[in-house]
Amino acid sequence: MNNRIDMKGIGKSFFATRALDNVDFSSVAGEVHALVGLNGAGKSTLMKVLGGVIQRDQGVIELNGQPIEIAAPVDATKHGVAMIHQEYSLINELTVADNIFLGRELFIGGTPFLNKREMARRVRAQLDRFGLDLDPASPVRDLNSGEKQIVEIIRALMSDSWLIVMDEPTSALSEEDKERLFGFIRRMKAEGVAIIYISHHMPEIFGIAEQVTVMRDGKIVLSERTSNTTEAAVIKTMTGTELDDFVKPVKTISDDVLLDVRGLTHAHAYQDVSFDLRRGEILVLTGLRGCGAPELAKAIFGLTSGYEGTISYRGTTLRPGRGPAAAVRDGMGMVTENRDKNGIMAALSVRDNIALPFLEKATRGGLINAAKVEAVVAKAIRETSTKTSSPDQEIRFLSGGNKQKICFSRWLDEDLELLILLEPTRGIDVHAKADIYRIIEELATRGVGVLILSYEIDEVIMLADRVITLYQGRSVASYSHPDFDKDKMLADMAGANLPAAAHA
Amino acid sequence: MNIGKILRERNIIVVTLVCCVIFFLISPRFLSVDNMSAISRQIVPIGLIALGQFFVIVSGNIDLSMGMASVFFAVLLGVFFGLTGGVGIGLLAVVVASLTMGGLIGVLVAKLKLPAFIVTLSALFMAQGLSGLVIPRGQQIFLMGGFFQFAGSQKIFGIYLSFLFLIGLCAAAYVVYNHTRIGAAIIAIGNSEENAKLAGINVDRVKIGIFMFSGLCSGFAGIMLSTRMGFVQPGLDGNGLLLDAIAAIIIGGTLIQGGRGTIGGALWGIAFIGIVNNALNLLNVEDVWHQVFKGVVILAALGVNWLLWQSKQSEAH
Repeated sequence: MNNRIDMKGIGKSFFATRALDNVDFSSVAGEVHALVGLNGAGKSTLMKVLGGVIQRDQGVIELNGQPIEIAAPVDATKHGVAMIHQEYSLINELTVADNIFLGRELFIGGTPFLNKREMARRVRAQLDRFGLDLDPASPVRDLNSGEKQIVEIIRALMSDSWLIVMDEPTSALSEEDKERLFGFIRRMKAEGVAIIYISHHMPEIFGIAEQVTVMRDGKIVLSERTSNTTEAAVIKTMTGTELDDFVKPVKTISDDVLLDVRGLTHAHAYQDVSFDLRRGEILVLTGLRGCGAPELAKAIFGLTSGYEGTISYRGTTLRPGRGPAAAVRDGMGMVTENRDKNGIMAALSVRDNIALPFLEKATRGGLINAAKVEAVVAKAIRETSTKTSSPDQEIRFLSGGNKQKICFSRWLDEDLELLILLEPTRGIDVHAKADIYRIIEELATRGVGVLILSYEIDEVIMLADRVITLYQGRSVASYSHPDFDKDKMLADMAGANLPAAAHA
Repeated sequence: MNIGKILRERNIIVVTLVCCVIFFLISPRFLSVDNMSAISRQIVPIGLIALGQFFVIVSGNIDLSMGMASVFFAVLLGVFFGLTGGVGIGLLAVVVASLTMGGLIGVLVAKLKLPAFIVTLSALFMAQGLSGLVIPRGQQIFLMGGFFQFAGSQKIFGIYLSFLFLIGLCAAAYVVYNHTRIGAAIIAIGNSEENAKLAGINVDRVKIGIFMFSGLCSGFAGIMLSTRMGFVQPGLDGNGLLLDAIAAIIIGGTLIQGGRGTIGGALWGIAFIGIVNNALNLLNVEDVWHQVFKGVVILAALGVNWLLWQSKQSEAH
């Protein structure tokens, strides 16, 4: 039977935001349907509706022409829809076969004893069918990310799924694993599996997908057979202008080079990246996930060693892996992409969170100067316009935007010379975004060098004095304010404008 | 398989055998049949507690109550025996009480999401207090009669009945852990509760079951304690038993943060603790130094384990 799912007129609002607006989307057995769009375009929301994670406000979902209800993830599973997330849902300490049959084990006759032989045999048969060389008895922890992904897909196939949604499946894969995944996807197509493939990588999309759909601001703006469209057309429809209440101030940047990175190379993460950053300049590194920018930033902050090339800061070459304590002493600050994990101490107060990196400087004779700390904390809260009932408030009760402001405010004292920001506005609402952009500009005006990693093209263009695009760990091109060509940048990020060297 | 690999993957076996050789060289009596037999009887309560604790730890939890709970159950058995002179009713009371206590702990941990550390620490103090309430400090109840004699000293083919009971329970646990869906469920929960739920596992029910089993193991350990000694008193060092049992589990290669462990490893860990305890007695190590030496030996064993594990990690990367 040729299964198909049709989502018709899907609408979804979160408070005042229209996340999905009258969206039609279909998936047909034996085809790969690529779904693309910038961050916040509504791709994940649409897939969450399909997966039963959130409920639509309007529209119908039809399976082979019959309306179906998907009220919970279990309904999606029942109708044969499986989601493969970037974070795997496998159990590391169980074997491949145990993972695939977890929760639906086979037993010997009517006994409670597991039929391990039969489970291994069926997994083996599936692996053989797709020409995969994996041992069903090896623990999942010994597998690399590509193999884990395939185990996850096989688990979905073996629980009678016919439609598989893959969210950026290649972001963590090596070249070799990618090729294997594409081979696997082609085999699945031939076996009549439908695939929805979320990606930004144009070469991948045009390599394996039959249909490509572009979303922007919660609407479908293009849906075409890949044979009838081009990479350039897709990239062009992805971008749209977005107004915001932040205007970049005019300023002059000194010629004083603060940070000089030469030929930085680290196996698998980044290759031969060079750039410099002057005092008062905002330099944005951008690309897709997996472009290597976070790893670069961490090397500069002294968190990693084992790279080749040099990082000079204030004219001296830094020792690889010298540690964040040394970096902070030298006037560097960093705000990570994962606020809740690396940014804040959830159980501590707003005051303690702000004061933490400052304590060493506020200590005299082994004792902390409380008045000095209090002054710093009050100033930080004021300058970032953080909304908190008092400095004693536990930080975990604050909103995402306010938490992020506090992550920033830690670094606002006058000793700061270089600030590294990873995805500074991830998961933050528009108003808090404008506040954060304003703080960044103020710091730059004061002479702080700011190095930012951002995946959001509109933010990149709004904020940057200079932009370097990266693709798979290599720098593609450099742009200076105000000569930003959004379409060309997106093409850089998607691997469409690779420099000749990258092919060598 | 080269020596390095054996050391890494079966290091607890190697460490245990090396210790045996050292103890034998110091005191040849160590390896005598009589002494081995004595060890097999001594380790039964620790072994039972360790077995129950094994499942709790693999699931990512801990049960701190098991030691003092086993003392409480021993006291309970003694009281029933003292009041009625009958053993059956006492055994039944211990089984019912231990399953109930484990079930209550399980419900608090699974349903109310209270940390197991807090719940079982509270249970530890309650068990300790109640033992002292039932039999005032300094007093004891002597357990005389056929059953206690039988369960404590009877041998079959030269092997203590109580030891056979431990081995039998371990064998059953092995089958459940490796050949039923319960084992995979426990490992899954210890790795990631979220993913276990996604796979359709009833996480709450498994957790409650795990704590009921650890409660039952405390009950069995209490019964074995009372039969071995022939009397019960509330001042028994239950927490010492608990710490020995946890040490055995960790030495046996179970990750303290949960998600990984084997019954075979746990058995070697139990054997190791039993051997060290026995040897320190046998070698006439003064009581005060006994604990110090045990600390040193455990540190050495676990330290070697840890270093080997780290070298394996760095090899992998």
